[in-house]
Amino acid sequence: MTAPTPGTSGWPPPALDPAGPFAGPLNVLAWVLFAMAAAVLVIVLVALGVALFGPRRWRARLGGERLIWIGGLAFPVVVLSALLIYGLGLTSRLTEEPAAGEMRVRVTGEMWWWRVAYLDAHGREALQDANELHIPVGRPVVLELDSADVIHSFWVPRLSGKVDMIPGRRNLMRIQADAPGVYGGQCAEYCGGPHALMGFVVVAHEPAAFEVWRARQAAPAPAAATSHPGAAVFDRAGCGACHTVAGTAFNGLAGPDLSHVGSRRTLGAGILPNNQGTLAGWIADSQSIKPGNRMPAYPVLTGQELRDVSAWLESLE
Amino acid sequence: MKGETGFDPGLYERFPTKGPRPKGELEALEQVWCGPKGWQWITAINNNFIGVYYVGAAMLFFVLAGVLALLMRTQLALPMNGFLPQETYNQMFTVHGTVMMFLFAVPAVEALGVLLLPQMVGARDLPFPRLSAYAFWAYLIGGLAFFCSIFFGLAPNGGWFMYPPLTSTTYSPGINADFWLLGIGFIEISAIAGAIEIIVGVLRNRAPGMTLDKLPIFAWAMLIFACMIIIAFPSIILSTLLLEVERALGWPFFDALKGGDPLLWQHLFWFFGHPEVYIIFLPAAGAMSTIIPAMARTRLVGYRLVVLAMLATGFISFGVWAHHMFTTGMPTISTSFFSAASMAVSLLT
Amino acid sequence: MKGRAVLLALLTAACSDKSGGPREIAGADPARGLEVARKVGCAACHETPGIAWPRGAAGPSLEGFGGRSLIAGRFPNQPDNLVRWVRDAPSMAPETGMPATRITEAEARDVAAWLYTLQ
Repeated sequence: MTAPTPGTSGWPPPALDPAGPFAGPLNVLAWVLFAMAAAVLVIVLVALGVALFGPRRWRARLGGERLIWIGGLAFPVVVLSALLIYGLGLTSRLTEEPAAGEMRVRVTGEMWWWRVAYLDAHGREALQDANELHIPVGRPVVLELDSADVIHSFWVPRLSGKVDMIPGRRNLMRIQADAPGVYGGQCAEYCGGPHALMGFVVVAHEPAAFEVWRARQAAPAPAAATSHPGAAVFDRAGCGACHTVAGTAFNGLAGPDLSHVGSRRTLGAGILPNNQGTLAGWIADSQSIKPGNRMPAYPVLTGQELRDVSAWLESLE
Repeated sequence: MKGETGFDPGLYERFPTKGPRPKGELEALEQVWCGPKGWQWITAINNNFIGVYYVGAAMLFFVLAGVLALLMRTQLALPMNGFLPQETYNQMFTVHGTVMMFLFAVPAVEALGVLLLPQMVGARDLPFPRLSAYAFWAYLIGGLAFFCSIFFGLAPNGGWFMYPPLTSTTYSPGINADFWLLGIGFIEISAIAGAIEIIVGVLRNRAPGMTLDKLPIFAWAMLIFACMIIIAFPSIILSTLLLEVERALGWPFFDALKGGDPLLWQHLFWFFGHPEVYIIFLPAAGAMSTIIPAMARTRLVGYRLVVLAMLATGFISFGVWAHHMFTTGMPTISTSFFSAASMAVSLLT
Repeated sequence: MKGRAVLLALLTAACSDKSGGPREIAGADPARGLEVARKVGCAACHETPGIAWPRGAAGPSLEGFGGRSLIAGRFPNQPDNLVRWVRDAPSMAPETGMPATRITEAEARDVAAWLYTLQ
């Protein structure tokens, strides 16, 4: 979402830089296809060269029907059949049924953000979050993809291919990160309005660090229940009508869960850095940042109130 | 010696006639056969005129959609560019895609057929000249009305394939999507009219002695093209009808909460959408196969193979539509089948 | 005649235009300042020349900031004021909506130097 990091070349692009076993085969297949196509291009160009400049006997052979049978039918049948079998075999793991006991997360596409719910062993939603997905390294994570409104598509190029989120259906996919890190994602099906500003972040932790993170997420943020002036502003402005903050009375479901918003790496669904300033800017006028998004602007808060509420939200880690 | 239809070519020996022609014959002939004068050009129905108008209109839409493309390219030239406001950009890319696919690509190749086919098969005109004239004018006026919606900010903004539920009333409350649905519905009916004419013309109005195995390759391509239109276009007419009824009357075809399925639109649309691209490609391939042998002053190599390939392509192209839906979560067996079929059709292409 | 002309030139020299050129901040890099602004997300509130998006509307536009004589309409637009404002605005104006950015002194000087290039 932000400008490319200065000093990096931008190559390889994330889609060609796999970081897990559900993206690796796609990358291999892409390069195989590219190599195959390049080889075919060379053959065709050579044939063209012979047709233009070659000796008469060769040119005569090119002009016969036999070439159509061999070059146009037999050769492609062999090559494409091989490619099909190879491709299907390579990508078979991507569509395996999830095994019992794998970590499951339900990601629901909304306009224009992502509702993330970590499921417990019984399939109930145990932990709510938004716009950021945390996974342990080295284990496949099953994602249940759903949509609350229109068709979205979940895409983390470094970890897997795209899978649509279609209202009325639940699509399953698996991702796995092989190394700790932060992996960016993007909505990949036009969903109207600021679709281009619907990004998100996958954070992969070492298993021990993941458990620490999960334990911290399961409990309300320590700062939630304090009598911070920001909490009073949150209350007065009616933010609880849409947002939930665990440990308080605010339990709105229309917008992203803010229980641990201070610990997220981005704001606004992957589009802004997360600090008190950007929080204040988003609250004051998110329409100028992400036009058409479902949160109204708040030109009714004073400067002090804006700073108070953004300070409180930033403290919810 | 008589030809296979019983026609005696010896009769040609009479021409050119010697001796003077009757007085006034030339003027009378010119009066009968002259082209439209002045405002008569609006009422012309001969395929030569309608064909030229048709090609001209298609090229006009190409330029209009091309201007939109240039505006889009300007917006995309720099990251996070602010050249176009968000809503305008969304309308522009929708209209660009729609105009290019529905108002330029198919009409352009259909126009080529209207202009060239009758003479190519030795007919005087298309079988139903007034129908083709009507189809042209409906296309021009409807297409211009559709395009002008962008100047009023009422252009559809759901992408050129207008997936519900984004294009259902809940998420597209204005009349923008209805412009698309009604406009495209009628334009496709116009295209089907043209396709019927081409089929009848090629199958029934050929010169004597022109059996199908002597049919020019372009005419074969247009015949297959027209048959594909007649099978594929009703699918999109049906889907636009269903979505318009859902929007106008609240019926639940694509609304999951009411028992419908957004994927129904995708299947219906792409059942049309994939043959659509072969519909655009086949006449162009037929044109290539006509131009190159003519320019190289040789016969087309493998005429029968080319005809068979075009027939098979047209047929198999109806079996690959779900390759536009690979990310929707279809079962693996389905995606594998459509992958295999897509490779098969690429073979024939 | 010549002496009076020289006297006039000397006197009016003191009234020459002092507003030419951006204010200098020693050792600060305007290019780094723009990068800090991008990293911190100043554009979330301020329309910022050099940052295409966002075009935040919560705060005033920074277009032409280098030529303004007041910061936030109340403090003289001088380097020491600006550096302090950019680091911790509420300490100068308690009712402002601009939170403390908590950037380092060096970063703030870079940002101030960059702001002064915005003519």
